[in-house]
Amino acid sequence: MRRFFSSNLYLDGLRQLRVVGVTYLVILMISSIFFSVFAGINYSSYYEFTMYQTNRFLPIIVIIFAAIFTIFIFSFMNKRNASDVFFALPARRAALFFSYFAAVLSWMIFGIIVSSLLSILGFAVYMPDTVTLVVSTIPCTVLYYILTGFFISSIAAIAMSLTGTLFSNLAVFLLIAFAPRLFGLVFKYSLQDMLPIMPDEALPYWLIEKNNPIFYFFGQLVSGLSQITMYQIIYLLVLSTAYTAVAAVLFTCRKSETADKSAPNRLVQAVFRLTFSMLVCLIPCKNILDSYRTSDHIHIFYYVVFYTIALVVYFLYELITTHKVKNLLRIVPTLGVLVLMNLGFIGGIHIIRGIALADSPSAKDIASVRILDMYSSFFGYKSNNEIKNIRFDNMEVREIIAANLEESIQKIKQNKHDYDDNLIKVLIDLKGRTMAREFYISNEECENLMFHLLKNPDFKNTYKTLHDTDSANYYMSNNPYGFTEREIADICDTFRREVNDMEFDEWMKFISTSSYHTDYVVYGEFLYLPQAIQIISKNSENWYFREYSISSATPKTANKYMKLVNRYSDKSIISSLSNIGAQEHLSVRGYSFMDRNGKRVDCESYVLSPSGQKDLEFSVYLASLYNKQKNLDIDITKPLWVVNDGQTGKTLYINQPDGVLPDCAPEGIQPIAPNTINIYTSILN
Amino acid sequence: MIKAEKLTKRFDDITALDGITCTIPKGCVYGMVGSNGAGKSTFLRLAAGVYKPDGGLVTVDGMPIYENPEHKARIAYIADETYFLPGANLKKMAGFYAAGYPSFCMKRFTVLTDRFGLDIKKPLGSFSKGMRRQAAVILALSRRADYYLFDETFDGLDPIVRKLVRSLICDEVIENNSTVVVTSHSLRELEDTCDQLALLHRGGVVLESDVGNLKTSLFKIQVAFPQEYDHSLFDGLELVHFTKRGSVSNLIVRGDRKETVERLRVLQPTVLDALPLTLEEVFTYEMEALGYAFSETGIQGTEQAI
Repeated sequence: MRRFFSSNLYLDGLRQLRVVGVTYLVILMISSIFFSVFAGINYSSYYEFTMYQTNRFLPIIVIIFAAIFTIFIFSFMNKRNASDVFFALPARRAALFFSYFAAVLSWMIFGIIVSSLLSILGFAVYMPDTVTLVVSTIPCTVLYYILTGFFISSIAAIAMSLTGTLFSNLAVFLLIAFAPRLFGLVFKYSLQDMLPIMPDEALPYWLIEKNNPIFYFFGQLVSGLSQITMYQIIYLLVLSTAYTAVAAVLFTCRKSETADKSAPNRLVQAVFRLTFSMLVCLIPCKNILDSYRTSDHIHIFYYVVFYTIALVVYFLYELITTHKVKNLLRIVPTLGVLVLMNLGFIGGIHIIRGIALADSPSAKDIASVRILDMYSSFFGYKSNNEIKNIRFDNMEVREIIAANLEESIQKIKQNKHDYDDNLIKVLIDLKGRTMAREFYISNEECENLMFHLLKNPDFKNTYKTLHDTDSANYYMSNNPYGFTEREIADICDTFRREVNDMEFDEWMKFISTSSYHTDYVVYGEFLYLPQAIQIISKNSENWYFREYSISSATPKTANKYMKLVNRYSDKSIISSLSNIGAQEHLSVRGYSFMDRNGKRVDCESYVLSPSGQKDLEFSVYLASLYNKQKNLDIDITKPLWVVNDGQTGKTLYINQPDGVLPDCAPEGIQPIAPNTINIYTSILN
Repeated sequence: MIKAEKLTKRFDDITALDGITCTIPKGCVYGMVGSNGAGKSTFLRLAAGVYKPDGGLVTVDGMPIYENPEHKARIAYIADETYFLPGANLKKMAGFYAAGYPSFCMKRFTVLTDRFGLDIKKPLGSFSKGMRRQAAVILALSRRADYYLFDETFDGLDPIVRKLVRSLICDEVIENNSTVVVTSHSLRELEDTCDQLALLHRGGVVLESDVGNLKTSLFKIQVAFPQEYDHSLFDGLELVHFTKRGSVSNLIVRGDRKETVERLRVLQPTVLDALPLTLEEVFTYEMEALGYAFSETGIQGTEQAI
């Protein structure tokens, strides 16, 4: 143990980092308190908060300070006299490294825990009771913060072990932190631009940008929430451990005399120099690839500018780090390596493209197909985690996939960029391997595919089923009447059961039209109320959010909702109906009535006026009608009056039993024909 | 005992130490003198386990130093350029060394800081160069080490402090049988302190000897004869150097002084004086005998130092 760790040195490390550590703690605590107050003011309309949302600055602070801690504690390696003192200490190099590194991690973890606790406390104090903290996100998120700090510290430790000046420490740190990911990112996007059929799932895990915590957290600040997955955690743990081991080896081998030098030897110096220059070269490289793909005119000036910048970076790095002008001449031959790197990057992508485009299996070669994602108005939005486990081996599906993949490949080869409306991402299982592909298909092909997919009972069942409450949370989109939590839960539960009990045909009609409508809408067959059920669910990778308006597709839910609305509104509106008064604030509209020809009509909104001849009579009629039905269920599929008080915002729902406009209805209440567009009957047929 | 066998250390294209072999006995105050770039500091860093040898070996009591914490704990190394933790004072540095060195003695630290008259709470950054060196000496001596390696430590100390440090070193050697290695480019610094001296030049040991032995084994004879004579008159003596002006000759002779005087008296000279040599003169003549010019070394001589 003493070979690798010294408790005395560890304690000394903690002491040395005291000033930086206290600064770090203070900043973290301020950010926790600030964010709690800020979130309490700005996010009180949310229903749920994840641990990350309680303090979005925390991971950024951890990233910055993890680097500062590490650079500070190992800065002795930048000065010869300091280096002599520390390397003269009676401790093995490995023990010195791990003891000080442990001190860095200790400060960092301590700060994360303190800040997290403060954030949770702040949340409890400042957020309203309607907002809940998703407790299950706490351990994963805090662990990821810790691993992020571990990751950054390990990179900084490598940089400190390799270089001997502050400038080169920072430069190499940034290089290791960003360069692999930047290279990967540009490589990935260049490849995917050249090969649009190549989704993220076809690429190695380490090429996916969200797996780098720096990119991930900065991305979170910009784009918002995405759940941390176990894969990310394991990946980061493994990578950080590997980096730490590399840093330890480099530290152990480090020569004390390397202090004050930008790199331990010329080879390493060349690697740094070439990497920095190549980062700049990525821009023209990407552009060269784009020009090939789009057959755009090549802008020579553009390439001259960027390659000149790359050359400047190349020579400037050498000059700044070594302070020797004569070295500039010495490094000229290594430019050849830079040229080869450029050619390798461009050539590599072309080679991969060629291989992928040649890989077009026939339907016979395909064992089965799994659907990863379907971006289509046909399919609605569905959590893909259940669907992607279903293997479709029917020949029709295989033929459709093979044919459309081949068509997409031909378009790419011909540099055609006309895309169909529907994007589909699939896993194609072949003999001994699986390939992921993504391509567009036409509406007709989409319908055809859906028809054959629905032959699979597992798919049909999964596609229709909403999540159980264990894996999803249900909410109402707004609550102007002040329903209690129990009342809301009851409505949501009714909705969930009612939808799960739907026949598939009804379900297809329902999801194709049921996005949130902010007003009363008749769309397709259904009447939609301006109230939606929201479902927030997650699988191992992502959060999903869907909204379904309450409608006549779910009459039980609509009944429950409308009865509750009536309970909160009836006294006020009945009173207003009995006494319209001078203020014209009551309006009436009607749905699902019958005209003289027996056809369905709706009634446009009409404002009841005390000066209207029949208005008073109609108001009394409505009040009397409501009183008769007060204890009965409200059927949204039957003729329905919606009385709205513009002053209070309250609403009263009243069924019209015989479906015909009463004689006392004012002339201003005009019946109109509703929208009766039917959608997707072709799939069902 | 510190032993170096064919010890070699290179920095890029420069060979700082080129196959040095030397032995520093236990309980000895060993001086290493040489000009800038001779390899003194490099030798000490190798002996302290800071550098890893590129060739050969350096051992302490038979064990290699590099990556050997047990033996490194017995060594206190004071570099030519002092270093202290940022913003630290003597007290904080004592804590730092106490954490690293099990034998660090806080009591001794307190006694030494009193003797030197330094404020342990004052930031070391505000100390003068000489005071920082004193602080470094205090911290080193507080470690109660078996081996002390001082790299040009005396430079920058005033004569009174230098005397104090010298006495403290001697106390360590006498009381604890510690071994001290001191480097300097001033012979005068080392003459009064060291038992043994080594001269380094261009990465190699040119001369190594006991100081007393150096001074007594070589001496100057001034002799004059009425008749004509040349150096062949003195065949039989181990002549290191011979100059003659008129009838007076200056001989640098290695050997027994009394015996040499008796032999020359038989020849009935008109003048016969046996004079001691300064250390600088000893080095000069010894190096001449080896084919070097003392002036090449750039070492400060005894007269110049005074």
